[in-house]
Amino acid sequence: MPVLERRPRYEQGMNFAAVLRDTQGHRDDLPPPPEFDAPAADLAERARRALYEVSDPEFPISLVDLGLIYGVEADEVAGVVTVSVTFTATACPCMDFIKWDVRERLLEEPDIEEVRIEIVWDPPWTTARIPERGRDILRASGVAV
Amino acid sequence: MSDTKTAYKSASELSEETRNALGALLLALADNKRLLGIRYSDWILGAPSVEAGIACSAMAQDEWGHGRIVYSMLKDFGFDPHHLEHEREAEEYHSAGVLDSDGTSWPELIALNFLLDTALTVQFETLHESRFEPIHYKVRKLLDEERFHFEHGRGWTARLAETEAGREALAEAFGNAWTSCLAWFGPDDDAIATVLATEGIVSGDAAATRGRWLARVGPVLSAAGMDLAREDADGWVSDAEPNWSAWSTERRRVSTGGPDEDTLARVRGDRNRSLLID
Amino acid sequence: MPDDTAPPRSPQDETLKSDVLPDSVRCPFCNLEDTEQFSTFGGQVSTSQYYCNRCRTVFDFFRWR
Repeated sequence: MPVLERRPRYEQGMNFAAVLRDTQGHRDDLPPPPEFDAPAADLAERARRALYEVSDPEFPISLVDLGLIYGVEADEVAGVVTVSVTFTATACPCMDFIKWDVRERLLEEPDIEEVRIEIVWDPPWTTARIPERGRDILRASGVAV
Repeated sequence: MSDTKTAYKSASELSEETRNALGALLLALADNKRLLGIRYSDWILGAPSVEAGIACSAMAQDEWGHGRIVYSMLKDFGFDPHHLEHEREAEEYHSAGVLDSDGTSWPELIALNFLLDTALTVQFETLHESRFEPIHYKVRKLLDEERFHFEHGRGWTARLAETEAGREALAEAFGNAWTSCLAWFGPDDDAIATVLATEGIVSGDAAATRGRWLARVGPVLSAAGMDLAREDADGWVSDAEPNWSAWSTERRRVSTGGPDEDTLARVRGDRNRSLLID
Repeated sequence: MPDDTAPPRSPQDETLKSDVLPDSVRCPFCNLEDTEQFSTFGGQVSTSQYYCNRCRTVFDFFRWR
């Protein structure tokens, strides 16, 4: 039996985010991102806006609209973006998918060379973190908040 | 005398004695969570109602999520995560004896749900204000989720107690699980619990934490007609006396052995080993 | 609009009530609060289920508040 080295799957060149998308078509039913009056002031803001295009794998809502993004910081010179993200449950079966999707989407963005993802559990996520836009999206999908 | 206020940011800041003690406690918590998740998963199909099956599915996932969070911390305590997950023998698991083999009845699962899951939760509560910051930032979410496990165990205990047959089955199942769960907290002078309480890593020693657990489960047991715990002037107590001469402070159990062959194969993922790619 | 063709809940559907969850929440379909707890654990690990007496339907509710 071959001994397979234990590394994150995305480093082995397997595009699980794409697999998930192909099988479930999640991004296709995401509502369009909000329209902004002005271009993003800096790289961190541009990255944050890009995350409106990354879907929660269980509901057709973006990570930003669900309030899961606790912070985005950017080192503009090095092109390194650090995203603090939480999950709705410690048992979230989709943590890896979400991390791959965040990384994949942000790396599509110009000037971003590296994406770091920090998982945060405190303060715990609650529905109070869902912005009004997110509440409308969830209600439209038949989920009460 | 050590300063009991300063927070520890990482395992490397702990004294060797404290690091070993906390590492052992975390491993025991993670192993119990992992195995308890398997026991919940046994009842996803075949529970008394569809809702109960769904509850078991959700609670199994919660337990594995909690286990994953705790296992991931153990690297800093000198453990090899791959070895922990896939290569240990039964005697190396730090899990309660009551988890060694699968149960055969729903009341046995409810005994695990109400007695053991609550015991683990009470132990996690002692880490809520821990000086060891990496754990205290993870415990809140876990405790939020466990509120619903407690309600499920409490609700089913009360429901099963509504009939004569249910009360008999409950008494047998809870009686069998009782000593194993009571022993989980250790004897009053437990070495690891004492080190951790003295250092401010946990908020109570073995006796205090056991007392909190008894106070939590005692009234429900009593209302369901079980006399496993009773209330006296000092609070809720149990007259059962685990065989402390066989106590292992690292493994937090009073029996030798470990998960049976089938359980071990499942917890290590033996059957699917060749498919592992991550 | 209430769906009068859907069968009402039967007494056997009675499930464990939670003290942690609200007794009723607003239904995402009819926007009224004529709802009751149905199941603490729902379709996702983060949701509980409620039953709308008007729409006669179960819906998911994010239980972390």
